[in-house]
Amino acid sequence: MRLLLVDDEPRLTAALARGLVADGFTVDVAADGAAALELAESVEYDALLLDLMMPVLSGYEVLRRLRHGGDWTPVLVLSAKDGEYDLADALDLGADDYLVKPYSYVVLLARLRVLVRRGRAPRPALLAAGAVVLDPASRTVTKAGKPVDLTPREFGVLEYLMRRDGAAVSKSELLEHVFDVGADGGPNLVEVYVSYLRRKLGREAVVTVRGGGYRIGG
Amino acid sequence: MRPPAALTGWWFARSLRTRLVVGSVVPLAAALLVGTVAVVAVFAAGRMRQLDVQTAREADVLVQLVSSGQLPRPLPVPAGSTLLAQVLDRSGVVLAASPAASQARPLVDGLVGRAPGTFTEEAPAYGDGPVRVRTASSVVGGRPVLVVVAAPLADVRRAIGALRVVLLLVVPALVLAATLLARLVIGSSLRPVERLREAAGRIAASGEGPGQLLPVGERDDEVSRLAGTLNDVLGRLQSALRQQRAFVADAAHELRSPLASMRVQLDVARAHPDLVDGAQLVADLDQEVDRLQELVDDLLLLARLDARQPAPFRPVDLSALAGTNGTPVRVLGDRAALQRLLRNLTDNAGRYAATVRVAVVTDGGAAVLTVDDDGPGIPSEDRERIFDRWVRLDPGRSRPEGGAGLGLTLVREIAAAHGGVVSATDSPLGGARLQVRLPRLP
Repeated sequence: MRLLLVDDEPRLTAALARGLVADGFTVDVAADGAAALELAESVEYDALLLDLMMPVLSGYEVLRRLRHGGDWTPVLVLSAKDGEYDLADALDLGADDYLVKPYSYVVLLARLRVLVRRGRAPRPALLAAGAVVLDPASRTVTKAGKPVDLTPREFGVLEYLMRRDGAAVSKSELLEHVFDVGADGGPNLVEVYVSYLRRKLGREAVVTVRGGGYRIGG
Repeated sequence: MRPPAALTGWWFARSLRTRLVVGSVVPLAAALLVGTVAVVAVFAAGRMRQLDVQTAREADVLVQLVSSGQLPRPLPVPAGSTLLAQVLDRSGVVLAASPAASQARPLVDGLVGRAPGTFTEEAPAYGDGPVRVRTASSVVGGRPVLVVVAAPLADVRRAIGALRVVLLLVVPALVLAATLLARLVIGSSLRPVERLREAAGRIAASGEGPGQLLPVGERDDEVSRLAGTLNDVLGRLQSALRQQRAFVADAAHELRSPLASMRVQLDVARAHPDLVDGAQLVADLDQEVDRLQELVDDLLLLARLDARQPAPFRPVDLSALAGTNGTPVRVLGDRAALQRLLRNLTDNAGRYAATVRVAVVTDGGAAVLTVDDDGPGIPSEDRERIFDRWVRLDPGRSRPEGGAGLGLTLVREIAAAHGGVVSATDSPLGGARLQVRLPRLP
């Protein structure tokens, strides 16, 4: 497993790299954001350990550029910043986990193993299907760049369909995942919300699949 | 004379509204009362004088009549007047009388033999009510007689009584009306104060919400001006609090970095004891401890300067301190703090430049310490900002060589504590020039 360790504290990175190497990882070190991006572009890492407050390019910027470029390397943020919005921002930008400095090396290793286990599958922070883009963090939906106003339930149906990425989803599955247990109306309820979605996003946004299900269009 | 404590205690335990109402109505009531008494007194004196004038004129008329040898019976009195008149001989026998007076008996006993020409108030021998009496002497047929004119006081007394009653009714009514009006006006004037208090109470209860302010009334009166002033104070406090919070958060972040490094080094050493290079570990941890120590020292010094508790000031020779060996330039100050100021300036310059030049000169009443370097200089838009806390100008400079960003802040604070200022300009060496001006000792 090859890791990229990005931090501007040379003694910290040296000690951490020593430990990680002893625990069987291969470790590259970058002292700033720009160097990190350069390395990440040329080497396919299994995980990134990323500091936020760094010279040249901040960790936030590194994250944004990585994800924007379609790089889904698991990222564990290691930062002394512990504000709730610092954490939320980093995670919404596409970080997979966040540890506040000073952290325990044992916990760091465990979290790292989890990330490596999950692998490099795309985990976009923004969901897109055709012209429709959904941001789960801000709970907003746009179509061709224009914001679309959805009720929480409509949003739920759309998000579930988008997460299944074009696969057919049965009405009962939607009912189970989006609606409360004991919601009145049964499969009809799903049909009603799908019709609302089509009215707001266009007929082609949700495709009816023969056999009683739906999939996302586009 | 001081009022008794129990009374002042009671008075100041009343609400402001009650005190204002009482304080404005009581003098008004007192003034009305004094006015009433004065009006009644003036009215009574006026009526009495009027009566005396009538009585004296009648006495004169009768004396002239009698001395001209006439003694008409009855004696004439002006039509419509209530005056009574008699002419008595020396033994007190009535010689003549006006129609309303007795023809047989003197109006007042014991008048004969008294010095004439005075006004006196007497109880009449008959009839009711006191009378005002004027006597005058004259002669009838060679015999001395006494002319007596009396004016009954009952009418005047009645009029004064009626006035007194009217005023006694009117004054309380006026005082009552004034009290009600004062309560209303003072109450409505004080309502904004109460609203202000409620709003302030809400702010106090809610801790510090961002930008919570007091309501400023639409009227431009004392209360709304007070609210405006309080809002200014509140705004300044809130922004100071925000700055303080940001500073503490930054300080925590800066303290955490060396701690994190130490923690990792120790954790890794514990996880892999076979990898530990003791000398290296000690050296590394040593550096982190140095960093922490320096940071804590800086923070403590800043806190001390903020609290304005510098060490006692003594004369310090800046030239010697800077090692420039020029003529002594003495300032009054804290030697350790000034040394720190100099070290921070030269450290800062040394981080960016190859050549650093320190000079100490005098300029009028000021001692000027100049640190020049040949580094990249400071962009003009950053020349104020570099003295702010936690500012590292060059983000490309990594933390170990960049310092925590408190160095120049300390320079500014130390200079300020000594009554001086610090500024950044261009240096003739091509880099930055940082200059501290302090008041000089002669």
